Amino acid sequence: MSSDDLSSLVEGLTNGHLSRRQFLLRAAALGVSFSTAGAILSACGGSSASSSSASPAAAPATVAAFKMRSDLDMANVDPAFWVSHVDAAIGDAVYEGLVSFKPGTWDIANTLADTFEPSSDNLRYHFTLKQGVPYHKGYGEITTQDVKFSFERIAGLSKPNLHAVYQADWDALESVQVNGKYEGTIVLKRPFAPLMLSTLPVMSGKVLSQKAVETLGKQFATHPIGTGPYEFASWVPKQQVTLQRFADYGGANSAYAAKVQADKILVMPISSDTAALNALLAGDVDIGVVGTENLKQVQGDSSLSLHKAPTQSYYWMAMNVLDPQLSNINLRKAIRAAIDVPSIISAAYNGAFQQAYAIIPPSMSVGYWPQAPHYTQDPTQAKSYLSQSGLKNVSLKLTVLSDQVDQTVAQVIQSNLASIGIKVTIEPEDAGTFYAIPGAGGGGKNRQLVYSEYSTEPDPSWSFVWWTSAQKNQWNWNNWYNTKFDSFLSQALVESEPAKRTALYIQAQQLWDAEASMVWIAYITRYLAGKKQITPSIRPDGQEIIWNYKEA
Amino acid sequence: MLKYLGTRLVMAFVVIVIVITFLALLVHLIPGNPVTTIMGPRASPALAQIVRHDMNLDRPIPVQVWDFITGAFRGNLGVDFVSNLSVTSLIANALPQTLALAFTSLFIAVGLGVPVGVYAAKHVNGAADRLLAVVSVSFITMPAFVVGLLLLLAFSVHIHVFPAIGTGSLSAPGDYLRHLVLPACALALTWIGYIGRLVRANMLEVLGEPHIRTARAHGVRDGVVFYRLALKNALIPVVAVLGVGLGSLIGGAIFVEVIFARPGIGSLIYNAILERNYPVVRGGVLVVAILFVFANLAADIVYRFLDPRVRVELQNVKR
Repeated sequence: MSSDDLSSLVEGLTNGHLSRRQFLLRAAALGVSFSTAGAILSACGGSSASSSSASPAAAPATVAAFKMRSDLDMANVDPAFWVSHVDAAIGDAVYEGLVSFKPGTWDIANTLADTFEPSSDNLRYHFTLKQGVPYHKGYGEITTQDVKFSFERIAGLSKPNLHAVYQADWDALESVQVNGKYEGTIVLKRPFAPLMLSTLPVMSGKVLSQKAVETLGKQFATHPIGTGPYEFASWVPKQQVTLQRFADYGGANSAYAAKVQADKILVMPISSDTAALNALLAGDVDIGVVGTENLKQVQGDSSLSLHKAPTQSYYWMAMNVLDPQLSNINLRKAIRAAIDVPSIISAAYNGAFQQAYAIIPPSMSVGYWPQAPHYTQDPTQAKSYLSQSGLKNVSLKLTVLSDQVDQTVAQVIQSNLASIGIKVTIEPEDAGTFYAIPGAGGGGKNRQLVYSEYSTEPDPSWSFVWWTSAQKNQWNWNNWYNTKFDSFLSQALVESEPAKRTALYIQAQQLWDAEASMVWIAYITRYLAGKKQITPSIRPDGQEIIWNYKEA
Repeated sequence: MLKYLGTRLVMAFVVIVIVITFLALLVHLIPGNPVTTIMGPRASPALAQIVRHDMNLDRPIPVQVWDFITGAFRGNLGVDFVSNLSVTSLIANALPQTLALAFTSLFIAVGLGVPVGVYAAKHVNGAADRLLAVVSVSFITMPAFVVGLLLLLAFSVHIHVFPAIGTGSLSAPGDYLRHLVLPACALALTWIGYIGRLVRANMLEVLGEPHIRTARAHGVRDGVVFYRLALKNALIPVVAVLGVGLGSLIGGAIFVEVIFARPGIGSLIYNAILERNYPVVRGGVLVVAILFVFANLAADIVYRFLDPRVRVELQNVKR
């Protein structure tokens, strides 16, 4: 256990990203005694609610509108097909689920559900609904039939099959039984551990109005109807999404969230970070994501405040183990030992991201490996590995996205490897070419070194899924396939006990680490800059909870 | 004249069909496909195949392009892969913003560039002429996005006179114009310099013509010589250039659109290319091609109307 690990835990506790229970579990995993952990808890006054989740009793003064910058435009807010975090943020304001994460935490709270009871074998989840909760725009009240419709359509159980992008979130669903107008049971074919982390509390768990979906058809994707505190008002593509406070809101989240403050939320897509900062400084937007290159400027402005939103997305460099040169493990170890990750973070991200030592970040409630090896740049060791590999005049291609930041990363890696005698040619590609999988004409299988980032849902299964044998010729760009690795992940998927799941994920990470096929770079932190009087609400994985923003 | 117009329209149509066919085919040469780019890694291979079929992407490329061309003649430009909105509606939202920006920029460029050129021609080789030469060349070489950023910092961030982003609403014309000032000035600056130099050069050429010397010899006032006799002829080449300029502004406004977070046809097409969103690319390119061709056609017709020498030449060629 290092002091950094404990500091990270304490920070998570004080920021509200970890509940007391999670803190104690993680502390135990780090080898901290119970009494010590308890003392830390008492000293920090750790609570299960974050400072950003307001007291349910508070009734703040109303604000006309929050003008928020988004880096992307709304694309598709249908929970079966949503595209980006912007769609998810808008969806979170418009829709609600049976259960939700309390703002700023991983704690689950009943939202549309009045009661929610898993069976002891985690195969059946019995729920009763709060009665009289209305949908927007006169689409009636929520009933169990809406729950059945919403989940089964994503699962592919409805006719015709929706072929939802997020079908895997409900892959284990057998059916939703309707026991009464406000009572039902979710029945699974097999235990599915991510259900309570990356399915029910997030987009795939939102309950839609069957009548609205069937009435609006394809239009539903850009004209969402839900029960949330905000209803969709209008969308001018590339300009603005307007959400209007729902006057008849049913109060499903009143047990853990204060009433919303703004009459309107205006989501304004501004693709350029520079333009966004200028808009912020000019007062044209109230709050929004800023690039890491703008942090100093924001910190130097007394009218703005900066908020960190650590995500669970991660930057990585993969080595294609099927390549004739890179199939040599000593070459891979040499590369790993030669790369100076802190320099990459400093040069490309202005030092604003947390260095990653494994795939799962500390903020993930399950699967974090605190003892992951901390590889540092060691040119002597790297040259030794290179010598052991027996390879001479090694020349490799590094494929990256063509944007400036990724090019900077590539140049640092090129320089690091040149210092041990490995020649690297940088191959920048635009997004459409870069993300083309081999089956679609892409060059994935011909790549050698690849630098990219993957995002994830708040469950480790979604971090690992791209690196399994099933992703051959898809998204597994290190082309390392191992049945034992796959087995650990399969077992973790059905294991409901968090500590056991974590142990399985750690074993998988250990196996993977021994292959030296990856260099972990950083976990992405998003930074929100806004007027000083505005307090954003952020989920522990960096997802913005725009309906819960507050102005003093 | 009608026969000339008819011939030019037929030629314009042929050019448009060739251009959109070529560009619509070109986008398919780049690796990548919209299913994985737009749906992301969650799309299983089976789902991707089904969606490909739904999008008609499993049909041969020439068939896809032919379907697009025939659909375009029926007014159907297809559907955006991501949002299911019609391409027509996306273009209808973006194009007016770009046209407003382009025309306003051109208006500013002509409104300032012509007087600058006339003034320089009147004071040829003087201090003012030399200064204007330096300023004009500086304007020509300054990229629009650099100018845009400087204007934004000065007039939005520091002085708060103009908004930094967006378009405003057409329902409030004053606000809409306020949003247009800075981006239009950013785009116009290069053309102010270019038109100024062009007008100066043309004016000096025309002022050296025999009919100007004759008019002066007959005691015609300088003002009449400059503004009625010389300027009218000097502006004819400018009209031809403006046609090309309008097309260039429509396509080249993308950088300014990004800086000022304005929607526009350029950024619509650019993002669609990155996403391999073929219907939007084809529809957008078609519209830009049509605008470019017709802008040049309009310039040619106006040129022909303004310059009798061109009419006489054409008549002589026919004989």
